[in-house]
Amino acid sequence: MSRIQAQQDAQLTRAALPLLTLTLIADEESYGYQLIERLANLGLEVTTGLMYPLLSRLERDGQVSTRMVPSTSGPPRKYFALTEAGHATRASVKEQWQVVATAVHAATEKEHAPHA
Amino acid sequence: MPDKPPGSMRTRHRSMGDRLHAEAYLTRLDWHLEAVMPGKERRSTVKELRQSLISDPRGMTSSLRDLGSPKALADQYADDAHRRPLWSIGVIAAGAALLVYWTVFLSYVFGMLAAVESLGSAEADATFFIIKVTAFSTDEGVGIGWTSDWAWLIVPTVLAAFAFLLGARIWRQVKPSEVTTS
Repeated sequence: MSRIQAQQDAQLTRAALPLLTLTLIADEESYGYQLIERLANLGLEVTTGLMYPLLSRLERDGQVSTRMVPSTSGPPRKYFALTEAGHATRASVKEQWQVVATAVHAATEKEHAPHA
Repeated sequence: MPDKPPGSMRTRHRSMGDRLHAEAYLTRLDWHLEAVMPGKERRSTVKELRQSLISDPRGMTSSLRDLGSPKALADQYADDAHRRPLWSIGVIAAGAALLVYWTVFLSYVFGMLAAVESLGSAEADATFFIIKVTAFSTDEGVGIGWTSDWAWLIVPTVLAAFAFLLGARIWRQVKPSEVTTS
């Protein structure tokens, strides 16, 4: 993979990550590393260096609420849940993504269509 | 919600070396976070990351590599925020500048003393920047000295101050004024 392609992949991941994270948290209250594993199960590799700052921002902006849960395998874990504002943001970002996805789909379909 | 303990979430035992490695990383991160968040939030962020590193099921090297460099991680936390001066890095830069200055100065002075002794002369005078330095070797004793007025203090002070201001990125203290469009 070229450096430019890697940068584009990283930018695309960074752009999609807030919506994906809010969606996963809406599905199930989770802690940071768990979200990374859930994204990996969906086929998306995300670093902790990208996820932890995002969660911090979401918390600061009131998109998620947090609570500490004691863990049997180490220090307490910080679980994230969606707030009302988070649900509203998720719906709005999802709409924006659908517009983009539709445009990308239309353009790439056109690319493969036979010329008249 | 009960904590799930699946195999993939099992915490690794952290050795003393791992902990030291993590602390070194977190200390450097703390210096860089000073630019992007206030003290209380910074301490809380570092504490959370420490706990995450302890809980991370991977090896410490992999965990730290995944976080990226301390500077890059701090930039991720910045979120277009106005960067504050890095006072801690300023203090470190000033300390390093003083260390270099005194190393060079003392090397110069002891070099003079070695020259005086090897030439068999009684005394030699020289100027290091604006500081008058003397090295002597007589039957009564051997020694070095420098002028006791303000000159010996002003050079390292100016050097340290310059390094501090540069290291702290003092220009960040001035917030960019809001651009108004008519």
